[in-house]
Amino acid sequence: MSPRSYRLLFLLLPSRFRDEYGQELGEVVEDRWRVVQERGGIASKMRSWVRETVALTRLALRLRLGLEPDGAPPRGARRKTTKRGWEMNGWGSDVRQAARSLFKQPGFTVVTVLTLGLGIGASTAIFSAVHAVLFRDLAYTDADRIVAVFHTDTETRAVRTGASAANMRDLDESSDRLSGAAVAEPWSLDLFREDRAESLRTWSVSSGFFDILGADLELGRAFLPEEYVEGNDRVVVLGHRGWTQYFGGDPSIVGRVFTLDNEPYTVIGVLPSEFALPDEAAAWIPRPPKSGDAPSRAADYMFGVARLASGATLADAQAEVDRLALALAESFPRTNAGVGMRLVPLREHLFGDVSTPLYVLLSAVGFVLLIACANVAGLMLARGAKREREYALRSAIGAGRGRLVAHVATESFILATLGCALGVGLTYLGVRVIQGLGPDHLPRIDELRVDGAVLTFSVVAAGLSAFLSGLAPAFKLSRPDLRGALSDGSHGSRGGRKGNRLRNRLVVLEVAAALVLLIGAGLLTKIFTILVNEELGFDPTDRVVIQFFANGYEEEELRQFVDQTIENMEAIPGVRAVAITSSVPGATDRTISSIEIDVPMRIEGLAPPPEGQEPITFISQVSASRFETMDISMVAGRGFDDGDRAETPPVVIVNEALVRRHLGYEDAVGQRIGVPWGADEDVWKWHEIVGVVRDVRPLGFESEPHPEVYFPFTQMGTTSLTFMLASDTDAGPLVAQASQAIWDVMPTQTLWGATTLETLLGDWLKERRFNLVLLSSFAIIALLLSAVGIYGLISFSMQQRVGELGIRRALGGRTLDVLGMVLKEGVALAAAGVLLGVAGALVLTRFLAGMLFGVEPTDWPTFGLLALAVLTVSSLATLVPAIRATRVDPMEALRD
Amino acid sequence: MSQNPEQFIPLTHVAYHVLLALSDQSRHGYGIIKHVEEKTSGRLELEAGTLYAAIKRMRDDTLIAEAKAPSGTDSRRRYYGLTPFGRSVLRAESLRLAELVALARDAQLIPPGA
Repeated sequence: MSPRSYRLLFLLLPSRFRDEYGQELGEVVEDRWRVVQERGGIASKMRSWVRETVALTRLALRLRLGLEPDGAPPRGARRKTTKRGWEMNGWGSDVRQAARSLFKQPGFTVVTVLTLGLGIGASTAIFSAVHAVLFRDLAYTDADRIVAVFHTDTETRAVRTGASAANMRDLDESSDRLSGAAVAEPWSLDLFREDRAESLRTWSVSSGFFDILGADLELGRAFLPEEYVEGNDRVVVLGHRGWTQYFGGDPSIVGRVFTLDNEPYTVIGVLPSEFALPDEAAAWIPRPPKSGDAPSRAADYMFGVARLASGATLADAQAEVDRLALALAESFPRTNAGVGMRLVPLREHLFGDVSTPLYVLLSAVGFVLLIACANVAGLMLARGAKREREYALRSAIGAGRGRLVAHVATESFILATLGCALGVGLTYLGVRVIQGLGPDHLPRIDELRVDGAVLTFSVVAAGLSAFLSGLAPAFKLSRPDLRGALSDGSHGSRGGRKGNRLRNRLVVLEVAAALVLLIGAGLLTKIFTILVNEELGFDPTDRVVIQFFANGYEEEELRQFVDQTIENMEAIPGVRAVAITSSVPGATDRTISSIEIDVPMRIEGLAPPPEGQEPITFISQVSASRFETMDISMVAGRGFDDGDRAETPPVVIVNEALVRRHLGYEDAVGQRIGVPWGADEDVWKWHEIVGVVRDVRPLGFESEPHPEVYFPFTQMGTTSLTFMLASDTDAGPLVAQASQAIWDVMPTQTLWGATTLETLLGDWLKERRFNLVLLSSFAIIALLLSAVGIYGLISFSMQQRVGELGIRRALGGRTLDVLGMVLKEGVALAAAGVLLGVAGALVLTRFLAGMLFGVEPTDWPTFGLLALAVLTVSSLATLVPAIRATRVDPMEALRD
Repeated sequence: MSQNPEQFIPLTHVAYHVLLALSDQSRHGYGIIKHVEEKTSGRLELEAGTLYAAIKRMRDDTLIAEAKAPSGTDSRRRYYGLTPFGRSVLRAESLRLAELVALARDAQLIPPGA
């Protein structure tokens, strides 16, 4: 709790108390907050927050209800009734009475409990996801002091993929505020098993890596300092999954020797299953310093990690790292000019991009809970009004204000308890749905479960619902006009304008909240359809991708291998086209690695910019059929063909983004661009642009397509290769056949990943669909609940006005007039709600901005359409009671 | 107005601890919380709202009153101290508790020396 949010609660206090004690309360809580923050973790903060909030709310309620003496001198009589006796007696009979009256009105009770249960269940299920993903302790020692390190572009402030080994070593050696810094380099080791080689996903980690993370190994030990030396480094630590998947979870694995990449490696340890940094791999090996590290300081594809020294804050460390980065840029201008380094807390690194959607969902579900509460409050109010005489009578025979309030409070408490029970049941169901629906890479989604914290949340949510739904009726009762209720023999139209006003406000709020949710969901839906249908720029259906790293081939050997394999693949029935490419759009490193190579480039005819400031472009090497295989259309010029060979003039194809950004919409075909060539500095090789292709949106950098340059595979070789097949039939079964086609040519070739393009995109699409489905269902639940709320309110208001309606009818009011009158009342409320909702959405959709690319947060068609929908549903909800009102029999109504 | 300490007895748990905390010196709000927490080895942590509910009630009942800050302390804060009447209530309640404890001892519920 920040003291500031605590001060907001002061609004609940009566102004007299606030003036007298508000200042001190604030100071006390600030002092307490300071202590809690020093002491502790998120759990103790939460606990303290909840306790303080509950205590203050309770105080406010007691003061407001007059249960707390209000400055009057003590009255002996009141003191003599010992408080305890009064309460015990009161609670017991309150519970009995409340239960009896709820039981007598099963309709009301069932609707209320269902409403609350839905609200509590949905919010608890989402909370469980947020809790599992964001709040639970990480498996690393003192994880809050671990940071991930990224190179940044000092000019654009863009964060790069990772960090380089040499820069991280300098941090390790020169930094006082970091107790250690290390890198993990993506690696692969071939393991021969059953006559077939398999690629083990491996991280090659520099000295200090496991110390920084504070890993507790499940078996064995981590690397010793002397094992980070060339020659002693043939040791391997297995990841938990690698251990079970490849070695059957053999408990005696430590000490055994395996041949990996034709070298004997000794297994020295096994990591626990929670250990997944940089991600879940099969193996970790030591990475001795390499001679190539120093010249390739710009190679920022490695995962950098560091630990804050004791006593150092993140800001301290960042300031120091900034200074070091500047010094490095001066010493190594060629590689480090314009390169900054950013420290990112581990939690943020792991969960940063999932936290926003989860918070959005959590607030959405908060809205649903609020609507549910408003509904129940409305129902209770309506019920309270009907029982005004009952309360008046009770009061007349001596029940104090407190007793009446206690009675209502007990009712909402019982309802909330039942709702909570139902909600917990729904939570179990909801958690299962989330797991089924959730993206696989939502971190730790498999750890999702209903545990103590989650149950606590549901109880808090239930308590809150009881409080919120009982609040309005209780307040109303605390200022009753009891005499009026008793003396007024009829129960005509005086249900109290005041009571109606309160109920009206509730309905307006409900409608507004529902609309906000609908608009949020509507915007996401719109983006989703745009993404899926239009923005990919290529067709992912029935495409197979198989990635491998062709190490150890002579150039000619590789060409033959590739040609022969392509021939084999083309012979598979159903295959329409085969291509080879170094980059796969949509690759996210999970199944297929994304090979992102960015290089500086120059444009012929323009003065070269100063070193280190050249425009950057992604490059890929592709075969002639690559664009056709992906259905990427040419915008201008030609594709590659057999005429583009090693000995012919070098050519490239570029994408629209590159033309747009760097060639200024001029005719790109025929222009020449240069890229650095070979190991020598300052040798630029010039390539003629022969074609321009449409942009694809390689998923992951979702907002803007990057400039890309494609080289013909025949002119610029690479060993990072992916076969890409387009087929006329279902691609699923083709994956195995295509893999076999490779092994037919080269039985020992390991495959890094083989899958369909749709599966690859699936993960990514799934995440969006997940957010979308959940948000939409909340929005629909919210709309339904609001409709029920409006229906209930209007029905009730009509019931109260039976007499008035009867008179109107008796005086010759036509059916249509009555219908119009009632409808008008409902529609006016709905319209007010819609206006408020649009205003709310204008503000709240800003928070969605990060999830909205290509759609303005203020998308008027969406706003308009959904506002209309809400208005329609609300009007329909009014229609039923309106029709009923026209059927009022004037005689009966007047007699009553 | 003559008041009888008996009419405030029994004191609530919280009220008793607050009075006890003020028995040796005047304290401000957070000072009371810290003192109670120390004396009970952290078993009783008063929330701000709970504390001020008690403070308000006891001030209205003139068991405590605004007091001068002890020298050398933060004088910007409001300090509270026991009124003579508050002290007599505290004493009366303590005696009542002592009697209860004596009864418990007689019933051998409390080991000797504890």
